[in-house]
Amino acid sequence: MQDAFKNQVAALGPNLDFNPTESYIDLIVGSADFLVTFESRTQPMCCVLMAEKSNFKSELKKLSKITPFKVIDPNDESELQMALNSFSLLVHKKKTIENIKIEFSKKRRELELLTKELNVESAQQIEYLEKSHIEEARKNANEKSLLHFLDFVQSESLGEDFLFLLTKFLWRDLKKMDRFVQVGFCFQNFSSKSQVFSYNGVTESTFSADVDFSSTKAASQLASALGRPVGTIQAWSMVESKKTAHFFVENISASENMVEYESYIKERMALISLYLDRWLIEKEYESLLDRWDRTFRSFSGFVHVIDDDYNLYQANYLSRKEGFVHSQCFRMLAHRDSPCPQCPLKSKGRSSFFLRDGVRVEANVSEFDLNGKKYFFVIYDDVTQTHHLKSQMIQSEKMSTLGRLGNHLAHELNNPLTGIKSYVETLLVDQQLQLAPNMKSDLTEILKATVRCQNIIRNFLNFSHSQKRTFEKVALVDLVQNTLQLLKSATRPHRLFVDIKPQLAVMAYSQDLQQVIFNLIKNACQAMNSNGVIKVFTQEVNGQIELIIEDSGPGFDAETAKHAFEPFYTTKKKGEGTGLGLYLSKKLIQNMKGDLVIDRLPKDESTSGPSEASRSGARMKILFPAEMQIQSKG
Amino acid sequence: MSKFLIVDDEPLIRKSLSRAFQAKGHQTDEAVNGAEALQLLAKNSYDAVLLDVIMPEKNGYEVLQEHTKPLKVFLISAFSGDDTNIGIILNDQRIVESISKPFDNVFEVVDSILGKI
Repeated sequence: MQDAFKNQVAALGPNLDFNPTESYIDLIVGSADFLVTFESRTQPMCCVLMAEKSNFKSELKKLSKITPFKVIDPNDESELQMALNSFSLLVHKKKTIENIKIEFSKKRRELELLTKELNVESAQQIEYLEKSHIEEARKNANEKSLLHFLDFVQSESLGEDFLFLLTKFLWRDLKKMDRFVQVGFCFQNFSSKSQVFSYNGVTESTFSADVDFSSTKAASQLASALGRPVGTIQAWSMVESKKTAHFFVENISASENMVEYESYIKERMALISLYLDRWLIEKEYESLLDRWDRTFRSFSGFVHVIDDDYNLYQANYLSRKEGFVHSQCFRMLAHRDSPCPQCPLKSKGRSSFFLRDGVRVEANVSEFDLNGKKYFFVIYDDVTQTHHLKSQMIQSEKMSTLGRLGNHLAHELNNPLTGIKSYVETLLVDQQLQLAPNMKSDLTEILKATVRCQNIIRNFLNFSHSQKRTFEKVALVDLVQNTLQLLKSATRPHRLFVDIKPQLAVMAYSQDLQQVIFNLIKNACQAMNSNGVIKVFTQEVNGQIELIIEDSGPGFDAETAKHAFEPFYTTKKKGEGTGLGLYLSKKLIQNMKGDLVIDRLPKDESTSGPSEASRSGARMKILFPAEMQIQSKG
Repeated sequence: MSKFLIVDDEPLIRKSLSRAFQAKGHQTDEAVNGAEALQLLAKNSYDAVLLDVIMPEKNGYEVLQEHTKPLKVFLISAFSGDDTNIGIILNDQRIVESISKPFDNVFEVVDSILGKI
């Protein structure tokens, strides 16, 4: 309290060097007149009015602006003391408040600062949070896109157009990141040529070209292949691929977004490589399979792969759709219920047989093992046609050899025969010899024999001669007689009945017809041991002339009758027959619009009526339809 | 009376022709092959030669090629049709006729020849 006063001594009078308006004053004590001088002050202050109790009211009225803190009697010392004390207390309080105020404002400033910092911090926090959120969203999007991609490759990688769909897929994703001209793949195809496949958002294109995407020349190579200027090319090698393969993109110019799409591509490249590789291998496999299948199918005969239970695994005569499961070759190919008796699997080599009616094959087997199981690759060469041609060739060769031999023989025989005949003639007319009548008749017999010989030779020459064939009128009776002359020795052991109406004539190639009749009669002779009966006769049925050659031999059994007209089918011993006789005979007759048939069926299937039942021999019938007949008969 | 040379490797043909000519009062020589015929042709002269074509030891063609003098030739042939030499002698002006074997009657042949010399 005392200290406060020491420094803050109020000026007690107007003469003091004291500026009442400006000096710092805490408390001022004085009369009203004194205090008035301070009324112009702006600074706050506390004042105590000294006034006698009797006139303090009027004193107080002098002050208009100042309100004294206390009014004390100037005579009362204690009152001043008390006032000063209370003032000191007040000042102290005020000071404390002031201090507190300062402290408070200081604190407030600090707080403000703190808040500011906090705001910045939180803004940063928010920003960071926002950022991380975006990042996460991006990551999510990436992940989603990657998953989408995975889904895509898994579901499409086996499809036929996987490459196209993949390129399109990548295009869709990539075009969000930048503007591309085209994206595509380049890989070596099976023939080690570079195959480029690309997509430009509208169309896909594929071509083979020499573009090496691992080199810097790729752009110019691609430009020359496309025939247009090419922008910036970027390519990524498919490292996982076993082939040389690249994925490439074409931009108009170098891109700013490269980082983005490069990471996109790199993330997928390994997977793409693997799937594309698999797809390409599959394609290659398919193409090889296709090529093999085509090769398989292009073979004109029959080819199949079977196991040792005759189950089919592959066959060129069945479509793949039909499937081979549970089907066996003898059912599908030979139309049988059991394996073919001549199955090439049994003979383990080449075999030739009738696969089914009218189809003769030559089969070749090769065996191979797969996973411990045996398989057979069987090739059937359809030799039906070949056999047909071969048989014709053999026959014509045979006939020409026979003809030449016959010619030679005939001329060789003619020489001495002419000698004998001429000599006998001269002997017969020689008067000087004076031959006895019996000698003359003997010589005449010799002459007759030579004439017969000459006729036989002439007939033979006519038969074998390779003259130009003419379709001409042929009298059946003459033709049969001429033919029988050539077969005298063959028919000798048998009884021969010939009954041909003399007026019957047909239009035919006489040599061919004679050859057929010759064959049929010779067959009849060979079919019987001895003392057989051969009947050659004609009949007219429904305006059709039939020439029938019948024997009393064992006849045909069902199997023989079935195959009798097939080439190379013979029941004769090896060396006796070529198996061509009936086959060619039928052909020759059919060539003249006629036909050759087996008239009498085998015993058990006989339809020739009860009178024929006891007779079982073969009966061949040459049919001359109306168009072969000469109309001028009767 | 004429004189004939008969060339044939078949004795019965030679003999029958000789007999037929002799029966008509003509004279004949016989040769069994071309070589013999050439010898006889060199020594004697004949009104006509009856010449077989296919013979051992020089055939009919060779006889005609080696004997270049004028001659009346009757070929007695049994052409089989595939004789490639036939062209060589068919143009020979000395050939009067080609008689093919076998002949039906030896006397008819002889009469025909006699009518053409």
